[in-house]
Amino acid sequence: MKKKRVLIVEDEEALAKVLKYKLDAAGFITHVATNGEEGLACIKKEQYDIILLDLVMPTLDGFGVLEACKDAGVTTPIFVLSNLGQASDVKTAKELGAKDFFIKSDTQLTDIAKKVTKFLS
Amino acid sequence: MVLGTKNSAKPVSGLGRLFALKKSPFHFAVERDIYLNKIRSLFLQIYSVFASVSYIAILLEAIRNTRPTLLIWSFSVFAVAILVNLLVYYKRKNLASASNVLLTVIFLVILVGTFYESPLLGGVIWFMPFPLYIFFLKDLRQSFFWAPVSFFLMFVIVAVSGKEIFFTNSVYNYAFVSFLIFLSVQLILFFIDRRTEDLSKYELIARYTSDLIVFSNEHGDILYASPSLAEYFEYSADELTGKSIYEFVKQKDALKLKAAFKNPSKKIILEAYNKVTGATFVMDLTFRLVATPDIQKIYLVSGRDITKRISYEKELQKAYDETKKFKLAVENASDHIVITDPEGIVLFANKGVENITGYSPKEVIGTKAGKLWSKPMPHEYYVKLWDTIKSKKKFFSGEITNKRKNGEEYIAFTSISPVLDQQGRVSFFIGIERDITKEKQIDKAKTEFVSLASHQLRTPLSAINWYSEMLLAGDVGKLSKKQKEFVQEVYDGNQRMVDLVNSLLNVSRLELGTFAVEPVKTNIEKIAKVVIKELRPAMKERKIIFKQDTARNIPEMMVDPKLTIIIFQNLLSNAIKYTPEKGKVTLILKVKKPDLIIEVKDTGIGIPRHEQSKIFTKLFRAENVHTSDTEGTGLGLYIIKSIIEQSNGSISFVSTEGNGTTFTVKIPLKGMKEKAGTKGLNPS
Repeated sequence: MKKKRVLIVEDEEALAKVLKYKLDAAGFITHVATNGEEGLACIKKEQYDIILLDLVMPTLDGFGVLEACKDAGVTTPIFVLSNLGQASDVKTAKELGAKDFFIKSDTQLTDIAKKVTKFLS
Repeated sequence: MVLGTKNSAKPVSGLGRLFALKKSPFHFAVERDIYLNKIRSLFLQIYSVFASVSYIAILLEAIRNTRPTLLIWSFSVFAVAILVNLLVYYKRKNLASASNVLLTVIFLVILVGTFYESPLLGGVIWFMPFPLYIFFLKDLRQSFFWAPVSFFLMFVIVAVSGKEIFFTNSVYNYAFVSFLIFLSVQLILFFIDRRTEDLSKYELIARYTSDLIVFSNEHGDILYASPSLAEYFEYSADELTGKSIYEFVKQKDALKLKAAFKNPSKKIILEAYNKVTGATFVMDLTFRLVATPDIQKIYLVSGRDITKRISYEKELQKAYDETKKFKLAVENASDHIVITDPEGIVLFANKGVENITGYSPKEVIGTKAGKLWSKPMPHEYYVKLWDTIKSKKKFFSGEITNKRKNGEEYIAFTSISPVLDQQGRVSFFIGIERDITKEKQIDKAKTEFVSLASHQLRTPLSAINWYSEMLLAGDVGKLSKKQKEFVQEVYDGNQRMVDLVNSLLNVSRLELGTFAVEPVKTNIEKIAKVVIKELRPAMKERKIIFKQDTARNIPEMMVDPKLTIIIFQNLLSNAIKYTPEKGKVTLILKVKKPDLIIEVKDTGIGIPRHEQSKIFTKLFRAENVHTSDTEGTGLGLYIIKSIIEQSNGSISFVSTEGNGTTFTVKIPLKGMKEKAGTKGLNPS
């Protein structure tokens, strides 16, 4: 079976690194973008099966990425992984097309891996 | 008025009046007039005596000299005189006038008599200048001197010159002199009468005026009081005579009165009072020194009751002050206030309008309210606004985005109320707008701060969380038992930190009032189950015996599921945490109209009695938990109490230290009260 491709858009290096490690171990091909603009460029350039998107990032934030994807008609499912946890943030993200929303500090890495695996299977 | 009838005496006329006046101390004050009246009275008496004597003399003369023509003539004239006299008396009810006529007629008789050559009568008539002197010299004493002197002179002239003073015939002399005297007497009578008439007018004024008129001496003793005073003091005017003005004046005003007597022609206002009824009146008094005879000073004190006027003035002043205050308040209110006609045309705009919109009242008055500063809002907004205020005549309020004169936009909370007239038609609209731009900005800033703080705090916690998780899971190589134990501590500690951050965020949302209560139809039992499932591992670890007792009739309720989860999580995890191993925790769900009851019972360590009042306070932790458990944040109960109370429920507990605690939560069956807010709370 062809390995699924995951794009991680995360400016926090430490988090991106451990997330990539976990997902790689879970059998995905992962690619990390360290800000919104970079992430958007990746999305335009390559095809991903899922995008894990942070919200608070330099240059272009997660909401901007979601909006751009929505405008560009990108169909790749997007999971938001953020430490913003307000109900309004969740609502906005979902309105902009996010498939799911995880608060990083409240979610175990294993759970994320499981959710992604489940979603893509 | 009882006393009034006593005083409403008919004007006494003629001599009667003179006597009446004589009795009254009033004559001191009208000294001159009184003297004149006295003189007149005296004159009349003397004159009557002379006239009668003259008449009798004429009769005697006629009889002695047997002159029947004279006799008949004088009799008939006398009869006519009496008749005219009576006629005048009945017609004019005035004895003075009648007497005049009588005397005039008698004089005519005497005049005629002198034509019939009676030197005696002529001599009698010579005494007539006496009253003339009295009148013109206006002084009795001088008159007494000059009158006899003049009689004497006249007598001498007549005696010396014999029969040739004016005419050769002495009879004509007598007649002419008598005629002159007759004219003089008539003149005197005319003046005296006019004076008396004037005096009577003044007396009538004093008698019937509602103003108060008093004559008094310098000590305030009343010499005369007008009847109008009786209305105030329960005494008749006569009874007031002799009393002191000071008796009717309040103690505090006595000095004022004293000063007025010393320095008259000054107006004073003082409070008079009726000793019997206790009623007080405000009097405006004027003092005049009217006469200073040798013995004492006489003052005319005239006054007016201004009690009503003063009270009207006070009321008017009060109303004016109120209006002024009101106007000042409206004028200077920081809110923007406009008053418009029923068509919305501005009639009044306060300073707030200029401060907020930048348009001066001049620019605003006469325009349609909002025309200058409203940003185009959706059509429906205006339809709703006008329908509410004009058709339904109800109060309208809402947030609106406006534009200042300088183009800057601002958010206003606007409220418009119609003011209706008695027929229920709209007279005015009162529009009040408050610039809430700053409040909105502050709210936004607060929310953003909480949001950002939570993000910043959580990011490093996430890293610790994920890395320690990886280590524990052996994803980066197997750890030794000791290493694993240590990493587990790191992980647990971090987890507590995450809980604490979440709780603190919840507290800040509760306190900023930014949290929302969003009720949806919820199965409470299912929520309880989810939470219990989450807590199973902890129960297992502590070997807690958990029992659930759910009534069958638990309905689906309109509650906020997230908040409900927080309530269950807190109560149950507390019960587990603070119950010793092998203890018992029971969850009871039941309906007790009008509420749903959630009871969480444990056989735990309990809450010390002296600390029971504090357990819902923020960051409070009981003494006995510090030793057994270090994980608590001291925020859980504070948070759930806030949630429960803000959604119209209640929470209470019963606890015995060492025996356990039972928490009881009541949530109304009709559901939680909805609360708009920007943020929901997060379950830990």
